[in-house]
Amino acid sequence: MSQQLQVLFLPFLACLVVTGIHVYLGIHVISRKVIFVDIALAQIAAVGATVAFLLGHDPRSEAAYFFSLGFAILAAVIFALTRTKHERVPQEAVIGLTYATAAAAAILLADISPHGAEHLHDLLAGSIVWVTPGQILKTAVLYAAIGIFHVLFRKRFLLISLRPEEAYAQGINVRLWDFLFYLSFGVVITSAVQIAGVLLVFCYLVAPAVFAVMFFEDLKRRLITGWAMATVVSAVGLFFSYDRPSGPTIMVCFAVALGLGGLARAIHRAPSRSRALATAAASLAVAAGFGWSLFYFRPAHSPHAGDEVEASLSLAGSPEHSVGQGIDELRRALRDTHENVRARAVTDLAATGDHRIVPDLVGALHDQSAAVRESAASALSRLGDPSALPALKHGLTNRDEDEWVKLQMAEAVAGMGGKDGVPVLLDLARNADAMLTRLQALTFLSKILTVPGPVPPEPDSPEGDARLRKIEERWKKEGSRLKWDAPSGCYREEH
Amino acid sequence: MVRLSFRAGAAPFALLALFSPAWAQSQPEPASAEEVQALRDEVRALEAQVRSLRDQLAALAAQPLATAPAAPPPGPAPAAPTRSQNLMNPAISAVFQAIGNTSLRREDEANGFDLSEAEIAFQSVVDPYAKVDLFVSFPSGDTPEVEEASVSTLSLPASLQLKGGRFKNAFGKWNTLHTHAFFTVDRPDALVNFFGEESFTTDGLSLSVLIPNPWDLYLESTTEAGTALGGTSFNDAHHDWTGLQRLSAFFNTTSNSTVEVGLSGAWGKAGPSETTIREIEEAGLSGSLQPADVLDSAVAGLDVTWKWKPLHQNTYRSFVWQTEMLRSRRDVELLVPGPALEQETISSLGGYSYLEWQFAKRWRGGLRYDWSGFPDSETDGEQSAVAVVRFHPSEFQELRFQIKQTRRNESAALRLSADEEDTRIYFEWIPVIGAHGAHKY
Amino acid sequence: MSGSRHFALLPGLALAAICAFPAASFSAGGRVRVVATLPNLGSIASAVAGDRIDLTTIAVGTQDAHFVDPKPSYMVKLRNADLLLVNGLDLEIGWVPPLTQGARNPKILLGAPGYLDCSSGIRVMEIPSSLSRAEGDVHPYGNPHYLTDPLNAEVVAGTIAEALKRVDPAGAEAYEAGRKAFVKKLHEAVFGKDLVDLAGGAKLSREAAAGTLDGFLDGTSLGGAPLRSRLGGWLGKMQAIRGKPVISYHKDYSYFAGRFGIRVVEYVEPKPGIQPSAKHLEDLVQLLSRGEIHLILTRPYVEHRSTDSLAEKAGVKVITLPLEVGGAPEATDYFRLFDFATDRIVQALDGRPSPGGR
Repeated sequence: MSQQLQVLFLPFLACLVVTGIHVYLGIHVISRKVIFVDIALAQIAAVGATVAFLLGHDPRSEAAYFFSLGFAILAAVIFALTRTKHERVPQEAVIGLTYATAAAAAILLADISPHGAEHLHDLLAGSIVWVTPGQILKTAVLYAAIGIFHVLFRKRFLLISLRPEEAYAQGINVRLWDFLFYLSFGVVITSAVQIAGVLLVFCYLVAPAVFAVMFFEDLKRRLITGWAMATVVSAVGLFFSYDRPSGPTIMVCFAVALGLGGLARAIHRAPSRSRALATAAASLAVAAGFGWSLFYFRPAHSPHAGDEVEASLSLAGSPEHSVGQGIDELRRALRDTHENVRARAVTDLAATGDHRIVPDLVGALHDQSAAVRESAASALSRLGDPSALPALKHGLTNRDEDEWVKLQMAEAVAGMGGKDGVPVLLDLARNADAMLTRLQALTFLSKILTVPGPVPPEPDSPEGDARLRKIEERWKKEGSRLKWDAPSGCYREEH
Repeated sequence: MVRLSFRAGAAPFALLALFSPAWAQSQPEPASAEEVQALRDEVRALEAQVRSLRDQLAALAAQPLATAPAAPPPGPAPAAPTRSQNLMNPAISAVFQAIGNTSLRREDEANGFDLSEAEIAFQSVVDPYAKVDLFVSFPSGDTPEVEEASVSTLSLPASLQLKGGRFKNAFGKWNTLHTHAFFTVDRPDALVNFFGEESFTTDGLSLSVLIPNPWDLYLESTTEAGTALGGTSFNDAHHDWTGLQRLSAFFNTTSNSTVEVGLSGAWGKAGPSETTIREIEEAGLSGSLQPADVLDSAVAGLDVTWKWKPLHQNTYRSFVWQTEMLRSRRDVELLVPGPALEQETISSLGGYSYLEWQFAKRWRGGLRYDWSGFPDSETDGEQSAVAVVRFHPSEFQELRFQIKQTRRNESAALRLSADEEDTRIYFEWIPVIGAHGAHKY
Repeated sequence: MSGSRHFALLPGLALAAICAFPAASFSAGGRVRVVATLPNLGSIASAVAGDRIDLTTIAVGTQDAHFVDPKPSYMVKLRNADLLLVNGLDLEIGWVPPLTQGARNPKILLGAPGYLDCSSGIRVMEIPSSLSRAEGDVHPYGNPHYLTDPLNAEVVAGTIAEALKRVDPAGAEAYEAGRKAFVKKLHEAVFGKDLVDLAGGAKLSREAAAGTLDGFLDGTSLGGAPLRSRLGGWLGKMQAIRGKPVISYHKDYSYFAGRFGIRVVEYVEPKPGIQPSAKHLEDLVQLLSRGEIHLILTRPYVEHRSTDSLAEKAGVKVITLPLEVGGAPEATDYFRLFDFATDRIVQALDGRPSPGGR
């Protein structure tokens, strides 16, 4: 918990610094009724940073900052110029278009670079969690300077924001002061976008101001309310954002706070409080119900038609219609220089279930690589094709063969009625190095000689040893009389 | 009133909104049985394809050229061919040098920057018995010349190695280096004055033997004989035989440092010396006095090299100190009142000492001090001090920046038609392309 | 003066004549004189051949195998050698040719029976599809550090044993026995004695080479539990950290990573052989700050400033692992080399306290 707080302390400080000036500027912006300008400027600053990123600068470097600032200043000029006295084209439209264009430009630019998507995401979501003390200090100093600038000229700024007609009447160069306003705006936003990201910057500009404007009329009370609300919500938002992207989390918290505030105000102002409360409760219930239904009626599995198909595939077994072309390709693969490819080809050929490939598998029994021979022997064992018997029997005569390969070959031979396989299996069951080999041989022998009872998991245990001895004796006494009975898969007495 | 109806009107929409997700998600999927079957088949075929492609990819990614396994297979394991050096193709490489130099006195004609030399090397092992080295250089503004072209044996018994052809003589340590392997941009004054502008090169035979000894030291004796190519000490017109004998010993003093000591001696014949010709010309006796054109000449040298390279981290730090001292003994004809020419044996000394410190993986700095007389004069002499910085952006490129200050006495200055004091700045860029063979230690 | 100079050459020729006498063998009688370029090869040869060889190794474990100086004193070592073991794949291309060409020993020249390229039969990784020095100091035949995968030592032991049998046929049985013993010990070290007794080292090694070991261990069960539960040795130790990403200084961990399952995602060198620039180091800090990578692997012969700075700025651990036997005091032979490496890596990535220091 305390580690959580430690990590969040710096971001919280950053939020405080950002709050300070953004609430003030936000109140101005709301009074001008040009809400969009802040997100537009923020987005344009982001485009500047993207261009810098494309040119190879680090997004957190000085160069990127100046690029952003340059672009923001350009935008400030445009906005100042387009605020006409008579407002034929509402400035909001211009600003909205600028925002959309900037967003599109950012996407297009980011598309060029392979890391563009990440970078865009970073810019939008911000990285307030990674803020360094240096960044906070720099931003604080910058904001203090701009704050002083605004305090000195606050009367002028307030005039052109709140009562523009008076300003024009007084002969003040509104364009110039507009430009200065947007300029300081641009500088503030550029710095903020670097630490907090576009969305959060917009949020800090608008949300606390809206909250404050909802409740109070005069500037001083608005400022204090805005600051207080922003501080509380930042703290709460950061607290919840420990495991999630912090920018968006804080923004959602602001939205919730605004919603609650709005609700509270509506209830407070409503002529009938109780009815208002009831309405509020009903709305909340509807919202909750909506969310619940989304949750409850979601499909049991992932909603893709292909799921059914996949399930049926695993039941279907080997595909029957692997074209002859596939077999030829696999035959070619059997001659590949790489032993893994050959081993895989053996398995795939066997999986076709086509008995035409038995000669190829027999050829693979003589492969240089033990892995390939093992695959071939086990495949032939499964296929049970008697035409492979001579080659398998011949393979058994090699004393130096790897014991796993020998096991597969012996199982194949014995399982097709070739009695030569049994002595080899007996030898493996007693003398093989690997315990699994001995166990496997013992298990197979028990099966084909129908020795009752479960095979003990330890072939070297007294039970296992006894079982093996029993099998060895039985084979010695009756082996010549036993005949292979294919239907039952074991050796039986001749009748 | 209005408010009430709004609520009433809104209620059905709210209910609709409430249940819309449930409604949307309960619609049946509109897939027909045929479509499903077709999809099934397609997926199966694709799966098989992906599997085989994956295996092919894995095989391509790790392809050995020899397939003989070392684990005991049933049957003999064939010997696997080696892959490391292609015996068929020679190692071909090209080294380019661009040297620019300027004297602090701007009027000097020797100032300039040019692609001063490109050297192409062909080196190959011919068969188990011999290897061939061919170095052709293309100096700018000049005809290409063969710097070295030799065949060396590889498998003579008794630790012998015989080399025949054109080769740089094994005199001291610096003489055998090609320009791009120099420590500094230029050759030490002593070597230039004693052997000429080019290094001491011979067309002939060289026999080298590693002397067996109970301490397992590297003791080498090299004996060379042939005709020297021009130069100053062995430049007689009849191209008489020149011989060289060198003994060198190499000691690993510690695991990080080595010392090599060598003693060299070269004997041959020289033609009339510069001094003789100049004196005859100045006296206006060019037609009447004929200097002897075959005179004895010999040069002896001692070289000591100390290299320090820490075994691990040897790419980051190293230190070299190399010193060579030369002594020339030569018969020179001098003009005496008569007028006549009198033979005199003249001895002169020369040498250099070079110190280099590598202070980063790619940076080295060096200092060299040269002192040199002239083989045909007992009075002329010059000394130089050189500071050089070498930068290797990679193993295959080098940049050198050098400042050289030379001081000559009056007679040396006259002889070279140069100033008594001279400061020159050099800049050199050396890129290497191709499979340049490894240099000797 | 005129005739004397001819006589001056005589001592040199006389020396050559003296040396024409059959050179006395200076090494202990009867043993095969084997010279290995690198300590790993020497360690394997020593394990296979034991006392039958007189082994000399040229490079030391703490040296960078690419940049060993071809000192003339090494030529003396090569002069009498019967067998030269070379790592191959052009790892020693910078220093072995001058040594073999100057050693005056025809037996160990490239192509001669005494020159053994130990990379034959190895499945080589990272063979470049196009060659250019723009990509840095690229190895044209593929990544030469194949001995970082211990199962490749099995192949190398076989190659060395075959070569020794050719050079010294009288010892063929002893070399075969030595090879078998080495391979058995190797299998037990890689898979754990328990699993080797259960399934057989050859089978496990085959499955591992084919890439199907996971399937085999998970698909086969014994007494109800899958075989994987019986996996021990180095593979068992490294199971805990499979899939974890690390950063390596140079591209020399590829075979190790392929065998033991760690992922080398980036290199401190931006391209092989190229020094890290400030920008590349900054990029690495950014990458490390994402918090998924916690370890940097480096070697004893590269500079430490870059890795130290990365460790400090990004708060990750750096461990120095030897590539060759002798590269750390604990790495006294090929087995101890991997014991040491796997221990250090698992400790660093698993969070358990390490015995201190780098």
